[in-house]
Amino acid sequence: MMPLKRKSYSVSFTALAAAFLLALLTIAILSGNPWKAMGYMLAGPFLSPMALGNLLESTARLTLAGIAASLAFRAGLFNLGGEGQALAGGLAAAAVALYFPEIPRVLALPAALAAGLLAGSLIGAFSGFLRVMWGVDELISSFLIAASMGPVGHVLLNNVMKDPESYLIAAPPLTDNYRLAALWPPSRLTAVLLWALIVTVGSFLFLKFTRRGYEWRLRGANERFARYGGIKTGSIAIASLSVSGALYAAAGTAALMDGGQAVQGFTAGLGWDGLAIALIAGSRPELIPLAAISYSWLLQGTRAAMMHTGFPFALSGMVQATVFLFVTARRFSLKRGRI
Amino acid sequence: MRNKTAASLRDVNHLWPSSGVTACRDVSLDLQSGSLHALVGENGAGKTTLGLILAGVLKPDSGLLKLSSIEVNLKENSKGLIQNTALIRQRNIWPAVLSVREASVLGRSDVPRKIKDQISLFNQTARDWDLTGINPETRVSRMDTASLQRAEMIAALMFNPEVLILDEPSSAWEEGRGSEFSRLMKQLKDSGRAVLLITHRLEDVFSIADRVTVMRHGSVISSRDVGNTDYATVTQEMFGEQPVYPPSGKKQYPGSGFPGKARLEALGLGVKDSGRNALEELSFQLFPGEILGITGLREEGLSLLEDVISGNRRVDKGSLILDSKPVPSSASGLRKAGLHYVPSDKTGRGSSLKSTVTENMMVLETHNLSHRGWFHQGKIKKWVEERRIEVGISGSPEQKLEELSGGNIQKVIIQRELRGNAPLLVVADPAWGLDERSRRQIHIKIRELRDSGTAILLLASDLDEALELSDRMAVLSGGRLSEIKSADSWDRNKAAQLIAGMKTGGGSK
Amino acid sequence: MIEAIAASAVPLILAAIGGLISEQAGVLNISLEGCITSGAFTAALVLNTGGSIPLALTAASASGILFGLLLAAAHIRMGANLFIAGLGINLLSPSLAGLISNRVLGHKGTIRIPADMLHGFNRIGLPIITWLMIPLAGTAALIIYRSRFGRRIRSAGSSPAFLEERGISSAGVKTMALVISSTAAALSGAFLAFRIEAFVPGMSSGRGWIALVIIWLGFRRYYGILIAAYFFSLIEIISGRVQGISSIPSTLLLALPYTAALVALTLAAVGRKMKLDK
Repeated sequence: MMPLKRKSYSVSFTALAAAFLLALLTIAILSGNPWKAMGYMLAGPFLSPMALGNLLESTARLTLAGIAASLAFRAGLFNLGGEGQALAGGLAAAAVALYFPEIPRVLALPAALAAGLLAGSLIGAFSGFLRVMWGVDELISSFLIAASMGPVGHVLLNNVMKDPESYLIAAPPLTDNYRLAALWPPSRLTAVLLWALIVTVGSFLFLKFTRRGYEWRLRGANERFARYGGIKTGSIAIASLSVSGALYAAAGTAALMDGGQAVQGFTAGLGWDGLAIALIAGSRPELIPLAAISYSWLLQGTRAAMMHTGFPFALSGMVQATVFLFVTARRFSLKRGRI
Repeated sequence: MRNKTAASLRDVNHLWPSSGVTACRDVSLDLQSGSLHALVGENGAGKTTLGLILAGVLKPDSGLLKLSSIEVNLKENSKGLIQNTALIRQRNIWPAVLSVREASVLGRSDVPRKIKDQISLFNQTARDWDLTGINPETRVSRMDTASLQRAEMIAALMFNPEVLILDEPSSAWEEGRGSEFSRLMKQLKDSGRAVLLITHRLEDVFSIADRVTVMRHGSVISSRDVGNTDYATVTQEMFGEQPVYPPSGKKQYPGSGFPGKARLEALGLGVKDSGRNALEELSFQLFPGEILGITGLREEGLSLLEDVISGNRRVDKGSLILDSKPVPSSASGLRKAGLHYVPSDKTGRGSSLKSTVTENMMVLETHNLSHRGWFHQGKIKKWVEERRIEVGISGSPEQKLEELSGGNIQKVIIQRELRGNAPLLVVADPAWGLDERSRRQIHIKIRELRDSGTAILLLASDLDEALELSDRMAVLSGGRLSEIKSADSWDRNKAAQLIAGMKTGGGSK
Repeated sequence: MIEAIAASAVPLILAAIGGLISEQAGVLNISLEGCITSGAFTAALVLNTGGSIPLALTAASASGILFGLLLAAAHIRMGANLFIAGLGINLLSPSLAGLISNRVLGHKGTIRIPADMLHGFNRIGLPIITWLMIPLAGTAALIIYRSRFGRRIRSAGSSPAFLEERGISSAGVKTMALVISSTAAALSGAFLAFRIEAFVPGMSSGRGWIALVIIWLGFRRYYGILIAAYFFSLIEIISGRVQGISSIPSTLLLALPYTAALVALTLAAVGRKMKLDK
């Protein structure tokens, strides 16, 4: 189909630094108070235990998304449907919470999480299936499915699952049996941190030390070679997209837990963030948490700076954009180069 | 006119940064108008590189070019092809989507603006040089190699070059229409042009060249008038020392059939493809304990045959039988059935450049090296080290394969596939990219495998390798297989002619 | 109805033509979506603040040129992955639009284009542009397949080394292709804004992506783009009518172009596979 070379294994924290500088400069120039702005940008997340806790919570969530994108990349697949998979995951979990509000806590959370994971993995697997059966590029199919999910999510939250007592486009807030305990009040840090840790360690061990992990990596390095070496590249495609979808869905569920309520847009950006983080970390699970925390720091710092200096513009989109534009750059000069 | 120097290269030096190999070391060369200068040397001697540098297409580390009218510092040249110079590459790089005419005129100055006039110019040139038969509106993708070479020649001559550089004109051009090539070369000389012919074929040197320069490992060894030297001297200069070939160790052709059943059998294979690449009515039998060599041009069915046997392409007609069972059509199925395969596409199918040496070597052994899905690191390290030493791979196991030299990459692949007692081995161009010593080592290993009972199918685009290594041999030309007879009874020239597409009767010495 | 189909196909066709040119040059432009947004935004902004239509179109083109150059800088000069850098532009465009909008107009929402500015143009100009798309596709094909420039574009995608050998910078040709496609997309965004007489954040609703799908569905031919684009428009218009009758929430229709594209892509892939297997 649209053949594109995708090599996402090199580490590029430089792009993150570039994004950081750009945000810094923009705020410094456009806000009334350049030094104050910069101060908040750098120290924002560390100003209070709550800020720090929230930083860790969002890092955990982004780690899940980053690993989701990474695992697909390592197996040679491009999961562009993270937005839709995260949304599906969050909504599935919210649906379980909405329709089974009376279940005891010990079952409630696992059930919600399981529903989320299932939703995400089915969507991912579907893209994989299309690829294996008919050669439909998973990049485009995952993107199109995700894009289709947006309006569907909106309809679900506005009509089907809507909270009748609220004017928000949202499902009712989660009942207590579905909430994760706050580990470090008043911040919103929860056990999602643990999920992220388990997933990170698990992915690292899987890729480095298991036979299946090796097969995934080989497929990512050279699919033809893997196939000729007897590796079943088709099932790997489906499996890895499935896992990727499930992890994105987990991130979506984490977003649900974070906000406590499925509101329109509660998972927005997770797909793109996951990709950005995976690219920054070169798709290496051991580096994802570092990339995730830097990325979160950047976003949170930007938000703090904006809040405290009355800077009214949302910079997060530009930060994301800068990362995407430069994270795969191989030369940092504008001299004549051949592709 | 004969003595005017058309082009003069001085002090050309070039080092390939990625491999550290010196392609050209203080090379100087003169080309006279109206004469044909042959540049000879083994694979890797630096001839093609020098040709590219002379043409202005490759920027050397240093070097000066003096043409009749201008002087060019080659290191600074950014405009591509030097004025009035034409280059016909070994492998045509014309964009597949353009027509012959479009590829001919692209980027040239003095191109007639109207398409009609461009076509006329092309056809006129073709007539002037007796190279008719090419329709300039044909798309490049639809042309076969031989026609493309002629088209490139016409395209070059359209713009009146003073200097022509021909890099290994394909054997189809030479041998199939042998006289046409010499005629063309003579015509070029007579019109006062300077021709640099890069070749490894000494017959051409001694029949049409005026001067010959020998290169070895990047340096010029000698440069003389052809009349002042001979085959033996030139060969010696090319190879350095008398090459010693191991005793041929060929299996005698039994004549009355082989013992046992055929391991691999092709019955009337037919595979659809474009032009002369399609396979037709292909039948052969491969027995355990022999090397059956099939040689020919890759574009005339050889690569297609390789695709079919390795499970990458389905047959349209006929069948392939492995041990009396139809061949599984998936690559993994073939592996299970015992096929080992050294592909010609080393870096595409044969290896994973971005993975480490270890990861490349162990792809077939993962089950033995792991326990319940988890790898045994210590076991892997030991295993890899043993293999590495055995075949003499220079490079650390944790290095990415792409950092190794081409020869070492080939050794990694060979090591993996030439492991004992495989029932069937398909090997394509095994000695490609290898130096003489490694070539001999690999050939010895292949023969050892044969002696232990493996059935070996050798697909060789190098006629000499096929003649040297096969027990029985056949030529694949235009998708059809010649008769299969013992390698010793093939006449090299006749085989070459068959490859080139000439129809000859018989072929025994 | 034919009018409606043709009119709604205009942005798709214009963007797809540009996209096909970039694809043939070997640099498929993924940022069409972002360029549509930027074109619509700049045109609406100029008209809203008192500029003329020619000025609006120039501004839209300028935004396309800038994004094209940015993408070229990232991919061709700095070696960034074309796809990911394109995604970056798609993320940058709406953010930048919001930022500028905030600064100049004080808000980030819909920008209305005063009706009187557009009236004449919309009555006469838009229909002309609508039907101009067909000859435009023809002209593009002519240029690509019969001109010197077209040869270079096709070579850039097929054998850049060949271009270099003939002394032509393949980087230059590719940059040109990216700029052309980004500008075409930006212009199509401007026309979109003219048609609905406003800029609404998110108004491109995937048209940039659909344009890419259209290139593929049209078998990478200029006349194929026309057929595929009209087909898509037809589906959109029909479902719009259906929605009016039934009780399906209108937002669901937003998913339609993506779903239709997916179905079309899959069917085409199935078709291709069956043909290959025969």
